Amino acid sequence: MSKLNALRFATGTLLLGSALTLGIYGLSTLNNQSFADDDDDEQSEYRPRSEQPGTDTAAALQYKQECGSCHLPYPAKLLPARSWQTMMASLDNHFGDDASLSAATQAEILAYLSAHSASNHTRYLKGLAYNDTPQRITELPYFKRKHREVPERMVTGNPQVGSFSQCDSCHKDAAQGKFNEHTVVIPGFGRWDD
Amino acid sequence: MNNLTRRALSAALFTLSLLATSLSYAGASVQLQALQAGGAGPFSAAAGEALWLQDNNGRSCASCHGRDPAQPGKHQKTGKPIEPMTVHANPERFTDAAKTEKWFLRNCRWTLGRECSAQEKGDVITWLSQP
Repeated sequence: MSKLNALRFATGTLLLGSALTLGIYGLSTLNNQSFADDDDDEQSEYRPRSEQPGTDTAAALQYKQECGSCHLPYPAKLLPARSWQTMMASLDNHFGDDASLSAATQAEILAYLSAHSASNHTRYLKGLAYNDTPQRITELPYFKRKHREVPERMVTGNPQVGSFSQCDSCHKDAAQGKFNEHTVVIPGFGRWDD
Repeated sequence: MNNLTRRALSAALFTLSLLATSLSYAGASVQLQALQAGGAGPFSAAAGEALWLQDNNGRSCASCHGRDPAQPGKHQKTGKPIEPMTVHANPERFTDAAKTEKWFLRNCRWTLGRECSAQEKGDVITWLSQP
């Protein structure tokens, strides 16, 4: 009789264990699937990135210091090198502002931006002709696609944001180069969840 | 801690803060001397203030820095906060000559449509570095 009981116990444990394992496996797979359903690269963006190449070098710090004193130092990878070249050659009229730098600083920052430009991250250039030299990240087809579901009234019509170029108004980790949509909080509207 | 140590400590602290204050003003006076060596001067705080508030087709220093330079400002377009400009409110001001030159160049060209003269720079620094 006690042998039978032991057998019953073992079977029970085995069944319960496999049910739990299956359940947990199912949940984790479901999670992955929901990310995969999101448009293109959310999944990779959601992974914690241990390596942000070249973000702590002297050149990167100089870029952050010089350009970041007026605006968010936009990630170099969001524009092709040819765009950065045009931009750095016309700093005396930088979107209507004078952002002149000494020739040496200008050359160093251009070298940094070119080395980390979208030319090495071609997914940001999808939909762009090879000779297009966009100056505004907000005009990239990639950017527009990413923000097409965001109503104007939450950004341009929102006095607390004002423009799509104010990344860090909503992307709270923008300064660390993180833009995934799970950290988005739109001022006056709250978390963004689509 | 007895009374004597307490007094000695606070005296030391007071001296240190005086020293720090005079050091932060020293930056401005070094820059003023350099401008003077180039033939400008004497400088006038009142002229500096007038230039600060002067309207140039809707643009002025105050557009981004605010009318009161002891208060923080805000970049008109990007909204980025700007630390106060007076040495009294922000001891770091005018301690780096290259930084001062860079911003005078950019901001005079943006605001006035031309570079500022040594006289104008001296006037503004004099106004901003009043104790």
